[in-house]
Amino acid sequence: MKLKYLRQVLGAIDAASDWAGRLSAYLIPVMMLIMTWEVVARYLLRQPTIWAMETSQYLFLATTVLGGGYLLLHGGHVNVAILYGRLSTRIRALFDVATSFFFFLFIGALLRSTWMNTVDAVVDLEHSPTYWGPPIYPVYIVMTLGVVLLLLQGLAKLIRDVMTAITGKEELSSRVAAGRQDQEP
Amino acid sequence: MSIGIVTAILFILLALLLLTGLPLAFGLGATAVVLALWEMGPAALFLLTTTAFSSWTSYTLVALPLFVLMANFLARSGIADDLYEMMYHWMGSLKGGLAMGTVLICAVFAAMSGVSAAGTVTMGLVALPSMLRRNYRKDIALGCISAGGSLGILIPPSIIMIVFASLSGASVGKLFMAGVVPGLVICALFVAYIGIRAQLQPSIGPSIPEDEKISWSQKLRLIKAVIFPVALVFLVLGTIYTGVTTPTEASAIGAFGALICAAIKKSLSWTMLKESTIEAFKLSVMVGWIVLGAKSFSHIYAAIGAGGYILELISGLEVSSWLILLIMQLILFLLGMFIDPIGIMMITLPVFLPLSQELGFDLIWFGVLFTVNMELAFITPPFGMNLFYMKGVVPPGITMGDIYRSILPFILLELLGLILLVLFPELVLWLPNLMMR
Repeated sequence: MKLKYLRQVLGAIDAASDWAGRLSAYLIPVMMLIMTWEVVARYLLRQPTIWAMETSQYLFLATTVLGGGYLLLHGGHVNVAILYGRLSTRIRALFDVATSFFFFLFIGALLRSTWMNTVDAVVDLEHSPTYWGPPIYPVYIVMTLGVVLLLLQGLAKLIRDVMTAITGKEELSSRVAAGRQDQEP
Repeated sequence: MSIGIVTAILFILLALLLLTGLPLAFGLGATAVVLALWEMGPAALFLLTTTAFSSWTSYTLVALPLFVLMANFLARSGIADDLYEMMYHWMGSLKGGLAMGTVLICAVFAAMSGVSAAGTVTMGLVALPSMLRRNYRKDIALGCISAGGSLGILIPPSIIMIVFASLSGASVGKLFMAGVVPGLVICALFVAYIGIRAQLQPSIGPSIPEDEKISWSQKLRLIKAVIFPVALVFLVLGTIYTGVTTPTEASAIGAFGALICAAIKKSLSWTMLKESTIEAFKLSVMVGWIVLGAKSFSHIYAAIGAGGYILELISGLEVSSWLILLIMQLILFLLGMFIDPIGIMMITLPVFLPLSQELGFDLIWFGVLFTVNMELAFITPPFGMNLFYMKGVVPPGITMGDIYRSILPFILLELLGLILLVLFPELVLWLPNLMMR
């Protein structure tokens, strides 16, 4: 019974990471169009833009930070497989539980400092110091959001690893990551 | 506590975290946090957000997903089949011609993409079955693909060079141009080796049967299919070389042009767009987070004065700078046998960059040597990513042992190339020095 609620919570976290990731992926073709437009504007229209370069930089930040949780969900953060790759699922889960302390140390510290930055930026309605000078606080808000998603996904992974380490089975494994979204267990 | 002991403890912690499977990005980041808390207290952690902001708004890194996007669009428009078809008829009648041609196609692929998987996987699927069918010896057929694919990161564009530039502050445009001649030199070494061996030992790569030979007009017609993508590559590299666009803008134009090429080939579809985008996204997110981990680490490491310490240590040894260069190359080579290139980069560059600067090495030259080392890392057993990519696409009869054996001569050739670049720095620096800026 309790497992059912747990599964729902984990499923919700998975879905959030997955959606955030897939949406932010499409910022990449947008970056392509913006930068192509910049070259066209400069050489064909002889009117370089003041916004194209900076906008694509912020879009890159958004894809990267929003993709953090997505990549964790889909096992895409690269690691060194020399030893780890040869272990059984259960031992691997045990190692993951142990090293998760360091994951949370890093991402927790990142969240704390990003949150403080974001609060400052919002309170001051901070603008970018460039000639174009767009408001910069939305960028910080996206950053906080992305780090929160990654932290939650890390939490979901920890819960799964603990279960796997105890039972030796991958009971709570993610349905989103396995591509079985619309199918009840 | 002395910086030496702190350094030792840090690297032991990092090694433990990585061996136990913590992803690189988090391992580096966590080590940075441990160091910051230990040496400077919690106030220093603001560095994480400043580092994240500056890394992820790096103009240089914007080029990364866009070059991958360009490669994916081109790969999915069937360019590999067209190139192979052309090469088959143009070079097939030479002894060893298909293997030599495969290396050349890998070089063309390298100029379309910045990763070494692109050439290896596509040629493994297209060229390998064809060569085996024509009775090519398997060690030549396998070796030329794994080795040729590794050119992907040396011939521009190059993901490894983009990351190197973002960590070291080197100019991406110059690094790209500096990779051209070395890429061609190593490509020529591969081709010459295959050609000479096939002359001496014709059985390793027989020419294609007479009845498959086609007329000159048919041969010319085959060129038409590849002319757009190849023109696009020259356009992208040309605009970087002349300074008409920045490398980042060139990556956008390249991706856009590749989209048009795909449209001309009628291979444009929603699925193709989606899959290409997601692939580019995954790679750039992965690199983005690793760069954050590595930069946090090197910023905090530098803040406690470690750079100076290591320089003092090394210069205290009073050995020649060439010996240190040799040792660096040796370390990179050994790490390359076990760790993937992005990982090696993140672990070694915080120490190697200030060191090479202190020793007075040219940053662009060092960057190219480093990239050749990373090429080697892709192909050196037991852990060479290209060899694993190959294993993923070879027919069932071929073992990992076959793949390992096939790559050995090419490793030696690549090392020979590396030595040439060390002895004749002009090979690297000639082209970037001709650039306008």
